[in-house]
Amino acid sequence: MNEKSLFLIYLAVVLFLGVIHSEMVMVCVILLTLFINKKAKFKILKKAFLVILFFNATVTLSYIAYSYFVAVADPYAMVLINLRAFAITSLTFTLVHNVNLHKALEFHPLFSVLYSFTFAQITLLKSLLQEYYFGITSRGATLKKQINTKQLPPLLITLFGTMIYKSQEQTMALKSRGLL
Amino acid sequence: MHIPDGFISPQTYLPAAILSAGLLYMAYKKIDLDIEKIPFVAGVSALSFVMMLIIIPFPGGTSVHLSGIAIIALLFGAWTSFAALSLVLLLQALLFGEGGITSLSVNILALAFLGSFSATLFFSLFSKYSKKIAMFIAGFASIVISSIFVAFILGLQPIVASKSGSPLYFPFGWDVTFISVVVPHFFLGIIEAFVTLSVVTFLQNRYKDILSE
Repeated sequence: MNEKSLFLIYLAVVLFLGVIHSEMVMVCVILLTLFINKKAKFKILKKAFLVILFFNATVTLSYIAYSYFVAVADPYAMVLINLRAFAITSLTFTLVHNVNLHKALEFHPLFSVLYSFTFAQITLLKSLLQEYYFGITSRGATLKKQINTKQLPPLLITLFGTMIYKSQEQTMALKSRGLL
Repeated sequence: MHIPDGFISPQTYLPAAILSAGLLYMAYKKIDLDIEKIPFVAGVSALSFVMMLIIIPFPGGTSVHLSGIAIIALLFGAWTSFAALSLVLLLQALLFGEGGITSLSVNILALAFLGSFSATLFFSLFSKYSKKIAMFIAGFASIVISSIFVAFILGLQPIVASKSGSPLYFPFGWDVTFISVVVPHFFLGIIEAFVTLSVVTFLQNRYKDILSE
């Protein structure tokens, strides 16, 4: 099955999960993602769990505390909500793990090109940022993942300058290949 | 502020998806997004994405990451900012799970649309008095107005989608969401305002020629 079809199936399943209110269906979808991902199943489940942990735990604990003081219709309502969140997030990571998103988004050429250029620039700027952190750490800075206001201007110049330069270079590359 | 999957009902995210798709279509028309502009919009999106990864310590042991909404809006204009941030939100949802795919349309309306347009609106309202004050208010407004919208949408869920009084999506009403979402973002907005003021002033001075093009 090609990438575009898989992407459309994913969207259909996400829409389906949004309107179905059954814990069993959510558990089945989570099990399905385990089956699809085979070797990467625990990695993807862990990633999905960590991603939803903070928001869902905050809402769930608040709801449990709330139900002690105010009579609620269903004290177990959060089970379905959390399972749905976990199922959709696992499914999203399964899609990203198994499908080439660039090809999946090919149904709209502009969108596909925009996605590719953005992804390429993000990768470039992210590695620049990481190198910057390594640079200040190797020069004896005690801060780990934070930078102070004095360190911010040179970082912004690097990021902003690279972004402008890279955009101009990419436009030139498109022109030279006759795409413009 | 990103809303994850499972908390927004289809009754909310489907109309929001239609609205955000329409606005995105308008945005691409307004900024005249042809193949020549794509690398630039992609670059702005990447810059905003990476800005969100920069963590700055603040007095009192706390730290905050840049949101960059007002920064991007004031540097490149509201429509470009909206288009670029929408793309960032999509990538964050797909690759990092930050904000859900079902809540993407609501996140786009809250952060990308209202954030960008409130920043430019407040900047244009106050810039005749003082540009610095206008930048400060723009940074503050971009966060607070987005958070008001998020609180409104979250609080709407028990009203539009519940079964015999039992919540099917986000379980709390407006009495809870406005306090728990807007109040922390009010303080975060003050920090964002300082960051917006310093970053925009710095970049506008450093890249005067490029930004005036």
